[in-house]
Amino acid sequence: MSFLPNIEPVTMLLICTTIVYGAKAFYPCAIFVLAEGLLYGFGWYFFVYVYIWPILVALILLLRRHITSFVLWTLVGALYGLFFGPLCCIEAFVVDGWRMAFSYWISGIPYDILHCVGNAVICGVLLKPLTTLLQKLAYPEAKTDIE
Amino acid sequence: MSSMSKQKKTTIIVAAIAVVLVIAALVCWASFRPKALEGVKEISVTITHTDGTVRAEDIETTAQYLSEALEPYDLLEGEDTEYGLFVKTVDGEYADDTEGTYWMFDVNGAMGEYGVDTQPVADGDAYSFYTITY
Repeated sequence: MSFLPNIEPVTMLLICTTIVYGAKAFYPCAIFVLAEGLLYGFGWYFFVYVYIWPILVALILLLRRHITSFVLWTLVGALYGLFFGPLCCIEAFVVDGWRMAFSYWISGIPYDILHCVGNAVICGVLLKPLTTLLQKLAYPEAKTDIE
Repeated sequence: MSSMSKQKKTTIIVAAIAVVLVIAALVCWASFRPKALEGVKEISVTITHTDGTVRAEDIETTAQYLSEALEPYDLLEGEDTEYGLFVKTVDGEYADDTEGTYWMFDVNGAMGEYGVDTQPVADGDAYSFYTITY
């Protein structure tokens, strides 16, 4: 989906996996980050991915005992898309200072909003059916308390 | 209050916060984004290669952004990304980003804060291209 700027299913997939498997979701997260490095090279963006996706998994782990609504999970996914740019700026701040980080964030705002909307649509459509399916496959006798 | 109505209330609050944040982000973008200038501008461009050779050009341009100003000189090549041109080759010299080497540019002696596609061009600006390895 690289031809669609900032439209990605990774956020939805990590939310879904973390809801069902908990901390074990760090394993597919790590594999994804490594695969990105092998596919696209270990440039500066790789270092962003090293922290940005595990932060999402950690956030979902903190929230999953409190959220029982797929609508709310969709909003979490949307907000993570909006904050994706500022999170990327951490790398820019560390390497090039606050001015560069601020400029990078400002330039990326339209793409962060696109990312937010994209995540909202993808999570809104796919999160519930995929999470339900994954839960049934992983724990066929358990009842889900997410609506 | 039942768990379901608590979740509904939380959902409404989070949705409202999301809308406010999107609006705030748009306001920041409109206020702080680099503004392009019209008219004829004279700029200087210096390219320092890794072998120490230097190429200097004085350019007269009506372009609003740096990449447009340099286009007639075929100085820049790279990858089109959603954030603009990711410059990989300047004046024929390739910088391998997988090895941590990048082309950078300074604007009037200070590190450029934007990409070549979004760097506005102003009369009298001096641009210096060089490579850096992290």
